[in-house]
Amino acid sequence: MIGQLLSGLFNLIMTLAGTILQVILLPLNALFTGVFPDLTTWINSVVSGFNTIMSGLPYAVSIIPPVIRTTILIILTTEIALIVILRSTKLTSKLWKIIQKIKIW
Amino acid sequence: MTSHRRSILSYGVLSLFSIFFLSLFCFRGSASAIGYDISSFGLNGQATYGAANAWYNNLSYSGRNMYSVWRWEVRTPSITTQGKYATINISGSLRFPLASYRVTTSQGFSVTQCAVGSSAATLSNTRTSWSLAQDGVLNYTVSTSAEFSAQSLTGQLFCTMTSNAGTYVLTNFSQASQAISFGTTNFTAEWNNTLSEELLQQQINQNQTIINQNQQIINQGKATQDYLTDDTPPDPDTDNLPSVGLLPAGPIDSLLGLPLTLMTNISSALGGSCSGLNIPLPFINENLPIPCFDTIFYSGDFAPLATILGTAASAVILFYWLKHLYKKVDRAVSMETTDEDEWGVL
Repeated sequence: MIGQLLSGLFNLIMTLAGTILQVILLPLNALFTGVFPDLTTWINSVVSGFNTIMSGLPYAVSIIPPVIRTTILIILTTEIALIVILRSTKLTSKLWKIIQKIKIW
Repeated sequence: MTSHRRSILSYGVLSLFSIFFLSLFCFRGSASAIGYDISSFGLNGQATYGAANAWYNNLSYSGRNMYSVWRWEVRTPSITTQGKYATINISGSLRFPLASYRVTTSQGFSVTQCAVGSSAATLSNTRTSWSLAQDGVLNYTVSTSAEFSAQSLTGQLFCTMTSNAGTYVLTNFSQASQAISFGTTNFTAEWNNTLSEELLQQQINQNQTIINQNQQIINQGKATQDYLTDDTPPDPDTDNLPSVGLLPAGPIDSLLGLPLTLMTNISSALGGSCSGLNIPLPFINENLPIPCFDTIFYSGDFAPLATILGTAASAVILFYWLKHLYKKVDRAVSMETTDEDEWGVL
């Protein structure tokens, strides 16, 4: 139960980070999709191959005892959350400094 | 008795006279046919003679009208056929049987037309040669190429050959020459270009192979042309791309988001449930099921022992990690975070 909860929290953080990445890469995605459709197919095959390799990961992780798995998940989630908080704080402060320098108004 | 002898004698005399007159009549009849009867001149092989003006030519020589007679001789034509093409070789002589005339020509001979039934051929590459074999005999050879419109023809080849104006010299009377035309003649030959079934099928296969190769080249060219002139917007298949964000997956973020995908997979593996493996065995076409460690060691009789060991290990891990976390939080609240705290490469 705790493991699923932490996993959900972790996935939420990853989803947010992934969405930020997608927003940044939105024009680049459109460029590659429109101009280089063959390259998109190649990237597709690479990512699909990566997912195929990762398909055996749950079995490998299940070798670890459940209590230790939950502990590792807690540590991983907390670390990722801290990194996201600290990094976003720093980025926000940098962005604020840039906005302050723009004196249009 | 006397009258009987007289009658026998009279019959014998009458028979002798009859035999004499009959033999004399027959001898005169055959002698009149030699050399001068035009209808007795036949042509060699399958050739036939042609126009009547080829037989006579009214020569006015030294105030006297005289007729010269000659004849075409055409030997059996040699025909080599291949498909709708044919090579026709004709040879023969131009003979003057009445006298030993010397005849020469300056224009030669040519085949003017050839046809098999109603299918006429286009003639080309006509080659001709001639030579004076002896007085009164002019040998000639003519070779020509014919192309028909139909592939397979069967029937009789009918050709017309002509000689152009030449020089005619009467050796026995004078060395003076007079230009004449030898006219035309015709010749026929059997044309049988029916292909065998095997050869026909072979040619069909070869033609089909050529057609396929040409079609392949055409398709490749068309594909290239379609590709170059295609103005429809590209529609890459991005449905199978994994998305770690809320927006639809794109190629770049899917590639750059692979670390995030990896971490998502790890967290799902850590917090999710395991499913056993099925390994296909070769040769027997069966799967070998391998259950998860949860089923084997971490449930049932081994569960308490696994829980005790796991809890002890987790306590040690948590102790050291909490110490690390305390220092990090302390640096964060003191506004003294380092690049390592933020994975400072970003």
